[in-house]
Amino acid sequence: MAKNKSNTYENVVKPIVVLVVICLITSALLAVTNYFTAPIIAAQEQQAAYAAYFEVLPDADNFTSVEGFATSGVEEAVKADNGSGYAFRAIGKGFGGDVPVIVGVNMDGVITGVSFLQNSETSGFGARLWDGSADGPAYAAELTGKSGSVALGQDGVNGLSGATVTSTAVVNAVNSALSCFAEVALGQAAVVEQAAPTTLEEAVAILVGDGATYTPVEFATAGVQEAGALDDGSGYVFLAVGTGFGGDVPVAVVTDASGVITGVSFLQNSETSGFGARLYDGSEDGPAFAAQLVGKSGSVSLGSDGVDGLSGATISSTAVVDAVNSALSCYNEVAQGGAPVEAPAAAPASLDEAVTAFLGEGAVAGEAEGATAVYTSADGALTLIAVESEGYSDETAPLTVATCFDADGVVTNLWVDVSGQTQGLGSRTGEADFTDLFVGLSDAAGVDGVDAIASVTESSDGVKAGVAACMEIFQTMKGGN
Amino acid sequence: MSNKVKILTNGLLKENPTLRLVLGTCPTLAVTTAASSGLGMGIAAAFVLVCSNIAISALRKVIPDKVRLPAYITVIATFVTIVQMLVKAFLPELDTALGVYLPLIVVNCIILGRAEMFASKNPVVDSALDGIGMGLGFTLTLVLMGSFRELISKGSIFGVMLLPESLDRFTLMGSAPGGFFTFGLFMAIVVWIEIKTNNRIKRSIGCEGCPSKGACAGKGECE
Amino acid sequence: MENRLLVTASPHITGRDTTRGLMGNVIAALVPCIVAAAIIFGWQALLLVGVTTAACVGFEYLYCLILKKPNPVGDLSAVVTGIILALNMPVTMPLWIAVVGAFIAIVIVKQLFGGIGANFANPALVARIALFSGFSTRMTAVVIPACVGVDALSSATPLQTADMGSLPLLDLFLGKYGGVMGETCSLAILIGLVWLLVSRTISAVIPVTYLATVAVLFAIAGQPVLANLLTGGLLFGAVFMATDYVTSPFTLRGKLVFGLGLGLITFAIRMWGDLPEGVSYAILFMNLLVPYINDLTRQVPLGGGKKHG
Repeated sequence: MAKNKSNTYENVVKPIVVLVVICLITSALLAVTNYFTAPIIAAQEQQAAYAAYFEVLPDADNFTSVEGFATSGVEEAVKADNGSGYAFRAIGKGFGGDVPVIVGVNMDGVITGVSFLQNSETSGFGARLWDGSADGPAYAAELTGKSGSVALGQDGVNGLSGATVTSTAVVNAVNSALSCFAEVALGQAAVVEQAAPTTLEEAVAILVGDGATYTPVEFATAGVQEAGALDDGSGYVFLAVGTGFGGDVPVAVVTDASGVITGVSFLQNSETSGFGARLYDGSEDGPAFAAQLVGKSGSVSLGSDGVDGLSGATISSTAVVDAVNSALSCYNEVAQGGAPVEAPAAAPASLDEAVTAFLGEGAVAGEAEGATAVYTSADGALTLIAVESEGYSDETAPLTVATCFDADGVVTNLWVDVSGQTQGLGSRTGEADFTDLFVGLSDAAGVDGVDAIASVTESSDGVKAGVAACMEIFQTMKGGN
Repeated sequence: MSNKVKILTNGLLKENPTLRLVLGTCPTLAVTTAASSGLGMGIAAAFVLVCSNIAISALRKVIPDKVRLPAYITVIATFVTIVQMLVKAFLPELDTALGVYLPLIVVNCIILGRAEMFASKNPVVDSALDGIGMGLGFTLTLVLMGSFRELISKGSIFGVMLLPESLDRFTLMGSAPGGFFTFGLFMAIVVWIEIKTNNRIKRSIGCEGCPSKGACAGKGECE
Repeated sequence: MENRLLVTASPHITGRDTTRGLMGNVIAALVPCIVAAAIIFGWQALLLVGVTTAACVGFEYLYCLILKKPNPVGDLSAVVTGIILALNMPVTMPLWIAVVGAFIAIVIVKQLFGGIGANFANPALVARIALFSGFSTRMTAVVIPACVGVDALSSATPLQTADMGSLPLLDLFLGKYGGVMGETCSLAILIGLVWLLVSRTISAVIPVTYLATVAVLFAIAGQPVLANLLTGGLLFGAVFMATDYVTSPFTLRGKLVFGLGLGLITFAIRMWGDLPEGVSYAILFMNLLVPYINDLTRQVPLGGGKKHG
C-alpha cells in the first residue's frame, strides 16, 4: 500500500510539481529581465527607425512623435527633444506613385536637410533621387536653407534634369512639410487638401459653399451631363465633360448670373498620373489652371487670354477647355434661351457609312489604280475615292482616307478611318475640325496649305498625302475618260 | 584541488566540446566567418552554460529522471532568453552579427550535453567549473577558427586588416566548404597535439568510443 | 580469395602498361595544347604551366616525405595534374594562386584521401572549382589573345554571346578567342585525343558519348551545335579530365552511362543554369557517382556468378 502511494507520488505528482515550480521561477526571472531591458530595446528600435530623421536634423538628440497634425501630404512628424527643430516624412505624387521625402526644419523655419527614401519612379529619371548617384543629394542641397515655400525653377531649386514630374512631386512634398511645420510649430491653420470631388454636388459645396443648393434644369447642349440653377439666384452650375487621353475629363463649372465663370473644379478622372491627373491629385497645377478660367465668359481657348492649361498635358488641357466651352454654351441655352449646341453629327464610322452619307443611296462601286475603293453616286455627280495612307501607328487599321469630289474635282467631303490611330492624337484627324479644312480644295497646292494639327503631325500629313493621292487618281480617271 | 583544476582544463583541449566531443557544430561553422562574432557567440554560450550547469546541478536531486529533459530545456531556454534580451539591449551590433544563432544556443548540444553528462551527476561547484572550462574551450576554438577563416577570406582579424590590400583573398574560406575544411584542420591539429603529448587514446567506434557514454551507461539510448 | 583488383570476369591477360607509361602518354598528348597556349597567349603560358607542375610535384614529394610514405613522384601523375590544372587557368593568373591550386589538388584532394587511385574526384578538377569559387575575379579574368580577328569573339567568353550560331567556327576551332589556356584551341585538343587513342591510353567511349550527348541535346533544343561543342572547355574536359582512370567507371556500360550523364548535366547547366559553363561541375558530379555506376554496371561472369557483397 505504502509502496503504491509512493510510486504514484514519484511517477506522477513529483514530476508535475517540479516542472511547475521550475516554470514559475523561470517565468519570474524572465519577467524581471524583460522589465529592465524592454524599454532600452524599444528605444533602440525607435532610434533605428528615426535614423532618417537624424540625417536631416543632425543637431537633434532624440525625437518624439508629434500627434494630431492635419496638414495633408505629411505622413509622420517628429519633434527633436532638445528643441532643435522638427522633421517630417512628406509624400509628393510622382510619376510612378508616391515620392517620400524626409525634411528637417529648424525652429526658424529653415530647412536643415532633405533626404529621399526609396520610391518607384523610373530608373534613370526619378529614381536618381535615391539610387546612389549624385543627383539626389545635389537636389537635396538645393532645397536646404529654404524656408516658407519652394518652387521649381525659382531661387536655385532646379530639381532633377529630365525628371520634371518627380522634381515637382518633391517640391510639393517639401511644401507640405513646411506647411506642417507652420501648423505644429507656429500654430497656424493646417493646409488640408481635400480629396477631389466625384459629383457635381461635392464640387458645388467646394466652389460655392457647404450650404449651396441648386435645382436641375433641362438642357440639350452636348458635352454637358448636369446643369442647375443655384437656389439663391447667384448663378448656374454645370457638370461638363471633355474627351481626354484616358477617357472623360469631368469639369464642374460655376457661373454667375451673367455667365462669367466664378469657379472651376476638376473631378477625379483617369488621366495619366503626373500629367492629366494633376488636375485633381492635390498638386498646385489643377487649382492654378482653374484660376486661369475664372472670370472668363462666352468661350475660352487654350493658349489665349492667360489660359495656359497644364504644361505637358495638352490633351487633358484641351479636354478641359472643351468641357468649359460646353458649359458656357449650356449657360447660353438655359439662361439666355439660346439654341442648344448639339453634338456635331457623328462622323461616319466606316467607309460604307461614309459612302452613304456623302453619295446618298444607290452608289455604284468602281475601280481605279492606286485606290482601295471607288464609288460613284447614283446620278454620277459625285465620286468617292478611298486610298490607304500612312499615319502614326497603323497597326490595327490603316489610315484610310476617303475623299468625295464633285464633277469638277472639288472636295465636298472627307472621311478618315482613324480606328487605328492614337486616341486623342491621331484620332483628331478624323474630326470635323480637321476634315472640314479640306472641303473646297481642288489641287495639291491647296492640300499643302492645310495646317497639320499641333502634335499630330504624322497623322495629319498622312491624311494630307491621302487627299492628294485621291486628287491624282481623280484626275487620272477624268483624264482617261 | 587538482581535481578541480582538472575539471576546469578538461574543456580546453582534452574534451574540447567542438573539436573532440564534436558538439555544437552548426553554430561553430556559421559563426566563425569572423573572429569577433566567434568571440561574441562563445561568451554568450559560455555564460548560458555556466548558469545552466549551476542551476541543473543544484536541482539534480529534485528533478525526477522522467522529466529531466523538459526541465533542462526550460532552464536552458530561460537563460538563453535572458542573454538575448541583454544583448539586444546593450550590444545591438552583436545581436545583428549573431542573428538567429543567438536564440539557437538553446539547442546547442554543448549545453544540453554537459547538463546530461556532467551537471546532473556532479555537485554545484564542480559543475560550475566544468561550465567555465567548456565555455572557455568553446570560445577559444571559435576565436581561433574565426580568426583563421577571417584572415584568409578577408585579410583581417577582429577587423584589423593584416594582409596587404593587393593580395587576393580566398573567399571560399568564408563560406561552407571553407568552414568544414577549417573544422577538419583544427581537429587534426588537436589530435596531433594529443599524439605528441602521449595522450592519444585509441577510441573505437560504437558505444565504447562515444564521448557521451557516461550519460547512457553504454546502453545505447542516445536521447 | 577475391583479388580486389579484378573488376572484370576471367579470362584476363596482363598488359605491359605501367602508371608511368600511361602518364607519359597523357603528357605527350597534352603537349600540343601547351604549344597552342604559348602561341595564342604568349610565353607566360609556359611559365604558368611550369610553375604549376613544379608545385604539384613538389607538394607530392614533400607530403610523402613528411608523412614517411613511399615517394610516388616517379609515376608522373602529379605532372599530369599540374599540366591539366595550369591549362584550366587564364594566362594572367598570379603564380602564387596557381601554387595554392596545386596544393589543393595534390595535398587535399589526392594525398589526404589516400594517394593515387584513392581520390574521389579528379584533383585538377576540384582545384579548378575551388579556385573558381575562391578567387573568382582572377579565374574569370579572361584574356583576349592578340590574334583575335572578329569582334564577336572579343567579349569575355563566347559562351555568353546571345547568338552563338553567328560565331566564326574556324576561329573557334583554332582557338582564336578568349578563355583559359587549354580550352580554346580545339585543334590541339583533337591532336592530343588522336594520340591518346592511338597509344590506347584511353578508350574513346567517354569522350565520344559525352560529346555526342551534348550535340544531340543542343540540336534538339535548337541551339547551334558546333559553336557549343567548340567553346567552354567542353572538348578539353571530355578528353583530358573526364577520362581520368581513377575517377571514371571500369566497364564499357559504365563508361556509356558516365558519358551520358556528363552530357546531360552539361546541357542542363548551360541551358538553364546561371553558370557560364557546366563542364567542371558536370564532371565533378559524375565523379562522385562513379562508385555507384561501377556497382550497377559490373560485368557478370559467363555462366552467372555470385553477387559481390
